[in-house]
Amino acid sequence: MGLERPLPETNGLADTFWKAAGEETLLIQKCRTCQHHQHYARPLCLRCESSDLEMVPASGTGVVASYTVIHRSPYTDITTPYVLALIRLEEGVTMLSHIVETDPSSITCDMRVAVKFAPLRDGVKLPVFVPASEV
Amino acid sequence: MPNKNREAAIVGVAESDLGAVPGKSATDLAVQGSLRALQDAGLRVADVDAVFTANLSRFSAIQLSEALGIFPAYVDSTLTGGSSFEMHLRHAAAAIKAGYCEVALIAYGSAQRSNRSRNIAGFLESGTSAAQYENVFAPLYPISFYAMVAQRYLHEYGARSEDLAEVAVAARSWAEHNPKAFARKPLTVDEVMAAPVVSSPLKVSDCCLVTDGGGAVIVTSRERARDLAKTPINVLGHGETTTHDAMSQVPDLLRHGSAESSKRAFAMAGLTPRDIDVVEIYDAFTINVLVGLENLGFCKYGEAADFIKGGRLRHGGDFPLNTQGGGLSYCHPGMFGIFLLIEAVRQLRGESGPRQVADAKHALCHATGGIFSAHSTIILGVQ
Repeated sequence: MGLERPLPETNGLADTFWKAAGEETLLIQKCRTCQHHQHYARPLCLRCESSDLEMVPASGTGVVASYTVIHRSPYTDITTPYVLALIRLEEGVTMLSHIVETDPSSITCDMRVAVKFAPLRDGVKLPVFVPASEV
Repeated sequence: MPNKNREAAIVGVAESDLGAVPGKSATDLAVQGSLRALQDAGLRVADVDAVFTANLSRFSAIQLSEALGIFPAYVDSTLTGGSSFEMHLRHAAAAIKAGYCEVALIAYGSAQRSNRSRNIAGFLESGTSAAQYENVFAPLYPISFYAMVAQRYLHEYGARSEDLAEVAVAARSWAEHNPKAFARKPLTVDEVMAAPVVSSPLKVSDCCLVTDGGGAVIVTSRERARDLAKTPINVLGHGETTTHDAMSQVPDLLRHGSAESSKRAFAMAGLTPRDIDVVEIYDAFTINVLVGLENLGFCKYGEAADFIKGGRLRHGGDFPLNTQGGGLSYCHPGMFGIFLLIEAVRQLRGESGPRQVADAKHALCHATGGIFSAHSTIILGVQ
């Protein structure tokens, strides 16, 4: 097909997230009323419905909630195998990402991981994860 | 005794041509299924006053109504992936009860195999949270999500890939007895295990087929159903919910909206899982059956791998499940939900031939849409 991965759409509240990622900062949203963290950013707190929210730097460490090693790539700019994972950050939020620079057979659920940033194209950097001991 | 005359009953079911059906559009297949289901019910197109369909095109219900020459009094194009048609049945039952319509057509068609329209990255839609935060990570959609559920399942409960494989083997054992099934060659656990990995731990044989096909279900009031051609199959209970759209937003990888939708359906029907004789669970992937059995209450969380041991799900086993061969072996045009209803109705009418479950009185259909995003449970019964 000759398709590259789609760049993230950065309309609305996603713009702040991706601009910060470009500068190697992982932002998540925090409620100023009840201190609840959430990802992705929304106009309301999903716990208390407050609209008084801010973007704050995340710890950048967490655990692998689950993962999958993908053996068929839909895109020309990513080679197989690659590891897709759901990462649960210390703040309790979950995000989809990659586990990189790691032998896929060494990855397990609940393994501790830490964020790093991988340049993609057009100035976009992706928050990806490596085993925590390797940071 | 409450008056049940306005409660819903299914009075006609049919598939369109299935498998590889070149030269027919999605709407052609939906129309073919609709005409066959009306014939099954002993009704005409002119009797239909409500139209339910999804995903034929952007204006699906309008398109199908036009194709059949219907000016409906009630219309619903709810699109929740494979669970759409169970939701349509629930919504039709509510509309019939309210007196808004009398004869509802629920129809589906897809030409995804012949059109080669399926992409392993899925349908990348603009304006979604996935487009903003997830598609850039190149998930296979939907398989990578189901793979991550399976991975978590194996990790948390100590189950093995062979337990997933048993689900595929059981589906094939039913398909061997279904002349309409696409894949009928006997399958073994070893063969499933030897198949190439697509998105670990799921292998090619853990994944549903890619076929063309369609089907239809005709629903009316119990009052009207009494005069029609076939034994009416009563809609006894139903429930639905949605929990997430993007992969990262799933509230829990192993405890799903199916627990809630089935709780509502069982409460309405006044039944428990032990009362169900035939179970139809949307098996887009083998893991769906294991987590489905747990969330629907047929066994406890973490026990499904043990629950299905000894070939219980296979043809001739004591827990008949996906008795047409499922999405894994019978057909899978992309949104399988309508085929669960068609097979459950045939089982309750006693029309399933070599696949017939003896004395089937109650059937449960559970359909999932998206990535365990949407859930709809239907409980059917014969008088």
